[in-house]
Amino acid sequence: MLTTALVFLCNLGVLGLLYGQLRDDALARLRDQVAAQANDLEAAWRDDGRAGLTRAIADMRASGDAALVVAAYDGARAPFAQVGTVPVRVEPARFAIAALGGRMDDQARDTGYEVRRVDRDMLILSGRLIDDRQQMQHALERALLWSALLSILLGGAGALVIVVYVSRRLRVIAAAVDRVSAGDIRQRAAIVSGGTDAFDGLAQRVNMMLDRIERLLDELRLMTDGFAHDLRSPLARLRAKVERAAEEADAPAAVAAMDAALLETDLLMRMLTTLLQIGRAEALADQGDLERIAPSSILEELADLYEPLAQDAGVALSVKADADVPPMPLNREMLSQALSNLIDNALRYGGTKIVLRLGVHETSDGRRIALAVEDNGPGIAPDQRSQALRRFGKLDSARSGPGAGLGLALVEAVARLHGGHLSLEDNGPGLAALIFLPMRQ
Amino acid sequence: MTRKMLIIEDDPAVSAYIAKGFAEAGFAIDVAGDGRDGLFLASEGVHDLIVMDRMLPGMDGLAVLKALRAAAILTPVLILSALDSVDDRIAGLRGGSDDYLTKPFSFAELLARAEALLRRVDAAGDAAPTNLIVGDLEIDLLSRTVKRAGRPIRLVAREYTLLEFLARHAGQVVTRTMMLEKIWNYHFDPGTNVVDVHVGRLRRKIEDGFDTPLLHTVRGAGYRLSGDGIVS
Repeated sequence: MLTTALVFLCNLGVLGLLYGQLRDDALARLRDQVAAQANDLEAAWRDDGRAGLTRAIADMRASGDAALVVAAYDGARAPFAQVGTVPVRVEPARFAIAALGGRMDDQARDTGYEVRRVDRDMLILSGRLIDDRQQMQHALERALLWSALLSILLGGAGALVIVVYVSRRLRVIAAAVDRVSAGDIRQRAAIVSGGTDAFDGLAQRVNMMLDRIERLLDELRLMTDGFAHDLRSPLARLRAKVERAAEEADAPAAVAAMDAALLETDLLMRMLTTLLQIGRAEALADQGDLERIAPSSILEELADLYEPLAQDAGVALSVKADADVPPMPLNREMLSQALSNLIDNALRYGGTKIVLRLGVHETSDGRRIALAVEDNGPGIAPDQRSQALRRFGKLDSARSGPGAGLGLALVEAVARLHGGHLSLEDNGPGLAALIFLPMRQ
Repeated sequence: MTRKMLIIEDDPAVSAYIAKGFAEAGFAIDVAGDGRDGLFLASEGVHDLIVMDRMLPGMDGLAVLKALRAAAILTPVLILSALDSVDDRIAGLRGGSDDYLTKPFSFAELLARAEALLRRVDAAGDAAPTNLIVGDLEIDLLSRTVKRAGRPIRLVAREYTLLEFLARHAGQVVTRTMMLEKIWNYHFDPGTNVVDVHVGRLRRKIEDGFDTPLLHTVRGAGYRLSGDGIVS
């Protein structure tokens, strides 16, 4: 509807302009011609007086110009010379259009004329019939009217075609989204024109969004399944300890049992918090907390925190920066937590030396930094590395230790939050856990 | 003078738990079960501290806070909330609260932070001290040097920072979480006893060779630096 109306209005505007121009043009030309004629007659009068004027008018009659209307008046009853139908008396007048001819003359027709005074009693009338011009005008008007009608029809048809086509393309995408809303997350919008036009572009983007939603739903399912499964054990332990505490008749033993129960509660809380953080990191909910900091400062601050603990465990902890990396957008809190998980693992399973290393790597996709925790312990066998990264994935060698097995999953999630990834590599000997992050300004 | 506290919390169990704990610590307690009542009571401006939950029926905690601050009520507010993301914490602190503690919490943590807030308010009027004295330990804040019974004690930078923090809270319980937040600026739980090891080092340096212990361990809570020899 809107398209049709717009097209019609545009055309109308153009046509209106055209019409106006033509009309003004025609009138201007008529006025000029009438003036030129009057000038000729005036010249004739000046050269030769009345006789000259009469001769000039006679010449004009002889030329056979059917549209000519001229006359000369001397104040007597009627003009003394004329061509065509003229009024009996006239007054000086500027260019005007009127139907000339007296009452008795039923051939009065529209004339464009002017009347000039050339002497005390002498007036000349110069004019031209505008019949033929009028006919031309009418013909043009008819043509313009047809144009208007045609433009409505064509415009309407064109608009209809466009609307139908656009609706059809958009409905394909809307239908896919409807099917998803009805319950099938795997539905996608069809790509109709080989992916080249704007509608296909829209469809592709909608599909990418649906892919992402499907992934998030899967993550959510995994998370809630994990919750249900892995909260059972600590909860069972907690229940047992509280039950035991309730049964203790001996006050100090009861207190000790309650303390043990409290510890179990804290463990559960930590697990829950980590799970939530992993979920949030993967949903990119915290991405807004990036601030520009030097990556080396993160390593140095962590080293400051862990050094005494490492020393007490007989482990040498140091920081090495292979390159000078300027401040870049990083989430200090999450990266510190991720690295602290890695340091924790290294302290627990590593050997006698831990190095926190900052490195810079050139890759085909640009530069990236690596924040690494390198130890010289037993390491992780290559075939076991993916198992270690899985949520709740704990290697057999670690099964007896504390912790829920979520540490590495969180590190991976934090790395992905920054657009990077976690890599477990051989430190020859030992394990090198590297958080690779793309360098961004 | 008895300190007055207002608890704005809709869960009666949590509310009673907090009230009991603070009553035992010598506070007079007012309780409100929703935002509107809380705002009404807080507007009287007679409390020394407000402990407030964020998720309240009727009027949300942050809205209550905004209204209070707009009415120029400057009572320190400690927010207690299950909303624990960094964004939530920032929103709470920016909204005008003075501290933010996530649920579940240990009462010892809550008490320690409440005391810290109250001391901050008490000391707000005083001119900045140039040194801190705890028992026979003296810390010169300008030169960053430490002496005990006149003998200088050599501390590395982080040991000094830790000691200064404990000294500013002398006589009060300082929890591990508080130390991690205020000294190392970390809001996560490292899951190991990293902080304890730091405190242990510091304790050895300021107590070895002296008679009176200054740095006391408060079981289930944290640590306390004081010269009175009382361990709670």
